[in-house]
Amino acid sequence: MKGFAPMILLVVIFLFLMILPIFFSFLSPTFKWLMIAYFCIMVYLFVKRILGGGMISYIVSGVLIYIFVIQLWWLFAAAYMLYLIAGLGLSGIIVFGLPSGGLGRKAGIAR
Amino acid sequence: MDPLTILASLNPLDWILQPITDLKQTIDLMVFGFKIIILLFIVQFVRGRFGGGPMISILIMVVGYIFLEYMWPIFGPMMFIYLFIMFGFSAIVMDLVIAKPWAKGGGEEEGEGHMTGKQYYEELAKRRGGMHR
Repeated sequence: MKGFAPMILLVVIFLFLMILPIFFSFLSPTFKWLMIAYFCIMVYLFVKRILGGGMISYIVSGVLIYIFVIQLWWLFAAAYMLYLIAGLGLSGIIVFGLPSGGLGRKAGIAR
Repeated sequence: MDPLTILASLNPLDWILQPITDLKQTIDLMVFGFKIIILLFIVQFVRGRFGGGPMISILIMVVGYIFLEYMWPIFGPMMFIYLFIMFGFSAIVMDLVIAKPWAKGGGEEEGEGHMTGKQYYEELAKRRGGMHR
């Protein structure tokens, strides 16, 4: 079980980072609406890139916005946070930096 | 009032079933949204290969039907893994499961699987020395 401890710690850190936008949106409704607006723009741009401008892209992006931004915004926010961490290369810092840093020393897994 | 009637009016089965029904509805919604995204990827792929036109729209419908309805139990998980890899989430999993940075170079985790090159050659030389004795 000792070998799994650092992995569990890192998974918990990633889960915490994923939950962070949801937590902030509960803390501040303004943040939530800003986030939703940003996600709407992102979904529309994603659909527009594939289908081009036009009525069909408005309809498809409307459906996607209803599903992922209105209904399942918590899932989208968490997934986007993970995407951001992976996309900006922060995952390497978290995975390789934290075990050798202060947190790793506290958890007893530092070198 | 009869306790059994009170219990029946509380409907404990609903308390158990309601979250399950909600979860199923959420998952269904998620799958529907996922299918639309996959359809968009199919549109992008087919248009990228063959251009536009009415025949291409029919082709998109046929491919969409095959992928999203007929073979969905196979293609669904495959597409999920594909998206997982494409968005770079696999890098995190690889770092966590394969690289294991905390196991590198010491502590209690150090074993035969995590030795440095120098340690490996020292161990090899030790074993060879043992064999020639």
